[in-house]
Amino acid sequence: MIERKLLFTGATGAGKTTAIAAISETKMVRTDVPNSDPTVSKALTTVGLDYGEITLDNGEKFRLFGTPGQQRFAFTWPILSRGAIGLIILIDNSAADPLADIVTYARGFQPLIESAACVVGVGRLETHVRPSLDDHSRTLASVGLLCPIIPVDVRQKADVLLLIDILLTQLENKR
Amino acid sequence: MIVHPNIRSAAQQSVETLFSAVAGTMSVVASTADGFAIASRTTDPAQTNRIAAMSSSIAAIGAVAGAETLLGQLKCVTVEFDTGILVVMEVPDIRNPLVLTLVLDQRGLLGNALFHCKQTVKQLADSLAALPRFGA
Ligand SMILES: Nc1nc2c(ncn2[C@@H]2O[C@H](COP(=O)(O)OP(=O)(O)OP(=O)(O)O)[C@@H](O)[C@H]2O)c(=O)[nH]1
Ligand SMILES: [Mg+2]
Repeated sequence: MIERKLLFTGATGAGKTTAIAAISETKMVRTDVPNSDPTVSKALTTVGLDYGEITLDNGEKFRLFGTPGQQRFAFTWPILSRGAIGLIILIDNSAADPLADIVTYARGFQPLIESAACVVGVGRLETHVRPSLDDHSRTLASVGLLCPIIPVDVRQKADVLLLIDILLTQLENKR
Repeated sequence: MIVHPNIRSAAQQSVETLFSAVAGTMSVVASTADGFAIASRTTDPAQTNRIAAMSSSIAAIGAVAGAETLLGQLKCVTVEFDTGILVVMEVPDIRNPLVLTLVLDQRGLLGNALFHCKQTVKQLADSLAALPRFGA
């Protein structure tokens, strides 16, 4: 049995499903369905959960879960949080209000963040430089959270692995 | 939400039919696959949107379980509780698949509910298929 569980969250379109697909070594479990919200410019959206698995270079195995991003599925968040040892929050910097997003997920996952490790990956920074990583940092601090924030392109396997690497470093320091 | 009025009215008709056909029904909700309510009849309207979102999750997880176990297309998920039953069914359609949810209190009988749900799903699927195709 693979004991360790990591959870990906963040707003719709931030790339939770894409991130897990980029690194999963097993066929992903997907619950994406046609999107009917015209304010979301994406064909499919996750309504249940994402699931994948990965073995790191050191042989450690992880189960990877992703949440749905849209707020009406917030009831899945505590369910999917159970047993997770780390949380990866993904932010789409081209979204209408990325700083509000970071607050939503920091607050929404507060119990998990307090008991586990957390890292934030901000996407599309090349095309959307504002808010900056510093702005994100300050916003997180304003809700009482301190965790690493890095730029990512979740389509790139190396970027997603880096997020996990940082998360595991956080965990070691917590011990 | 992009749902044609004709789809809404077909869904509302089915919802009304099902609501009055099954004793003990508390709510019937028809929703898009991604969890937006498009038609409902309920004793507690505050619940409608929450039921729609939860049912789309239940249907999607049920569907993926069917795929993983090679059991084919999802037809129905039933969830039984101390004082009632939740029935979630997929309404197949090429363009606008829907999810139909029935909430029953303790007076509801599962066999009866399933029989009427299946009929309603078939009816609704037929009327969706008969609608002219909108847009692209
Ligand atoms: N151009 C560009 N596209 C990106 C970048 N990061 C992610 N994407 C795209 O953004 C989309 C993200 O979609 P999903 O992975 O479905 O997003 P999600 O977070 O799972 O969304 P929900 O399931 O709806 O909550 C994909 O089409 C990615 O290819 C980026 O840095 N640049
Ligand atoms: Mg997704």
